[in-house]
Amino acid sequence: MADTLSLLRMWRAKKAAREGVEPFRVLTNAALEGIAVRMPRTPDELMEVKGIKDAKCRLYGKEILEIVSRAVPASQAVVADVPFPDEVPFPDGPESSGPEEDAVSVSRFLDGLNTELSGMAARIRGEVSSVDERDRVVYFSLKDPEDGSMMNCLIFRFQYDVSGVRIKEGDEVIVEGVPEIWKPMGRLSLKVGLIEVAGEGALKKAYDALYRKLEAEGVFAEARKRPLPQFPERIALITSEQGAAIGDFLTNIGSLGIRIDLYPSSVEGKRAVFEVLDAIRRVRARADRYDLLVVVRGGGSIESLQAFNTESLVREIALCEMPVIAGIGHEKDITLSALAADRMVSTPTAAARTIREPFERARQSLAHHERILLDSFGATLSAASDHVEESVGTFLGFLEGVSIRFERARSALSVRAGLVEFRIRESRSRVDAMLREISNGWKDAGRDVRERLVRAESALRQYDPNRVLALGYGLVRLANGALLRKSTDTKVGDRLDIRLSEGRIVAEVREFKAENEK
Amino acid sequence: MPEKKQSLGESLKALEGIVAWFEDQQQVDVEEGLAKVKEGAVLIKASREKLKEAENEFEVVRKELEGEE
Repeated sequence: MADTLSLLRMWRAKKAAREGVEPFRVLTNAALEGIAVRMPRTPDELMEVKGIKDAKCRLYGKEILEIVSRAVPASQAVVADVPFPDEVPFPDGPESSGPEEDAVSVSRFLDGLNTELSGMAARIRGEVSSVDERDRVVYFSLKDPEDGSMMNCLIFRFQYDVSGVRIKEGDEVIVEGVPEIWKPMGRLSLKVGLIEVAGEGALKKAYDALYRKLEAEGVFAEARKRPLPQFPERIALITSEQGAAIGDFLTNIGSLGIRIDLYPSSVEGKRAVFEVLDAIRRVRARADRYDLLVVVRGGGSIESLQAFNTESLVREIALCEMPVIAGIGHEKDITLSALAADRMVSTPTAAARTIREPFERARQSLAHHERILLDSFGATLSAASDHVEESVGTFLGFLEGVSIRFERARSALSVRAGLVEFRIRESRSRVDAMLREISNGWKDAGRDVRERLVRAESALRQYDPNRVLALGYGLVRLANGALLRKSTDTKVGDRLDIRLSEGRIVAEVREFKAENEK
Repeated sequence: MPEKKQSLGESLKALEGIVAWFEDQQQVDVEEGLAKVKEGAVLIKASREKLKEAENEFEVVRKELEGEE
């Protein structure tokens, strides 16, 4: 039975999520339990289960019977042992004229009533007339201000706390709940699941009070806002599966190749607070998987946005491990949840664009950087090549300089060489001239000498001693061969050699005489 | 968040650094410039890979079991 019940519950959860309603609106717990116990195999048998009438049978009959048939083999034995009353007091009602045995017990009757009442969830507006807060339950009564009609209400503490409304006598509120008879007292109460403050004025007042309280605590402080991840890879999204918000978000975020996990939740009205709160808690339970949480819904009146002005939800958002983008409502109706988020944007579209923008910018800057990088390197290369060219130029310039100097030197040299050559030639011609002169000189000189020789010859002939000797003169020499010119150069007794024109004689000095002496 | 070897943000930052380096240099050393360009090219490739237009993965995460009302 437990298996079937679990299967039925899962089926109901999916159904409720798909239809965007709360699970009890699909089938009540009592009905699910009834099915699990009865294990119906035909639509007729299903109709025998409490809380299932024509409409439900038409809507869900086929699916329920299929779930049951899958589970039957495992649980049949158990089912057979469970006694189940055949009587169904409702919807047909008791036969007024039936026999006594047909009468139902009080308890069973109340059970029947409660089953019927469980399908009568309602949203009721009224004035709080008395409040009795206990540990686990808060009892209060609602009064109709027009005619004083009264209704008993109770709300469990956790729901009361999530609702975030502190009721007191005289408050005008709207409650949502299911009527139920408390069997020990036979008293009808509204089991309230949610309390809202009624009326724009009261809502505004509650909003302002909560704002002041959380503001004082620093929940909205700029300092605790975290920067959004520049390039989130896994996003948790909380919004309704129906409605424009989800479409706007998914359309505008573009193709970023990221993962988006939707935690579906109703976002409309105060009752959404439970689902949104639950969704955030589920996301937080897997906080390591996400680098961003996005909560979005379309704009609306302060009433329809009430869930997001609920203290419990505002606090839950502030507690999130990952940065939160809130795209809840438009500028004019800023919710406290949005104020508590790390980034507040006006619409689901704006939330999507906030995420998309860094990707777009990165794509652009990537292209830009690529261009700069290529340009820079191109510039580097061309600068390098310029540098090389410059170096080559310098070198060539140098070479050219060298060559010019060389050329200059060469021409200078050649000029000089020419000069030298000229000088050499000049010198040579001078030498030639000189040589010529010299040789001419020599020639002249030769002629001269000959003439002089001839003259000297004739002169010599004139002075030939033989000629003089012939005239009768003689040459007197001393014994030593020296010519005797003065008588004093000799002495008596000396032998004198006298040469004559023809022949020689030897004489001896005998005496000296003066020149005039005879 | 699951850390990658180098995130897109880090790649882009590194790339900006390289670009800034080029812009800062009066006289770029060709060898060093070439190394930077190679590094930049790798970063661009990796970033482009991450930034390429790709369908997002979308999944609806439903509750396994609805709690009691």
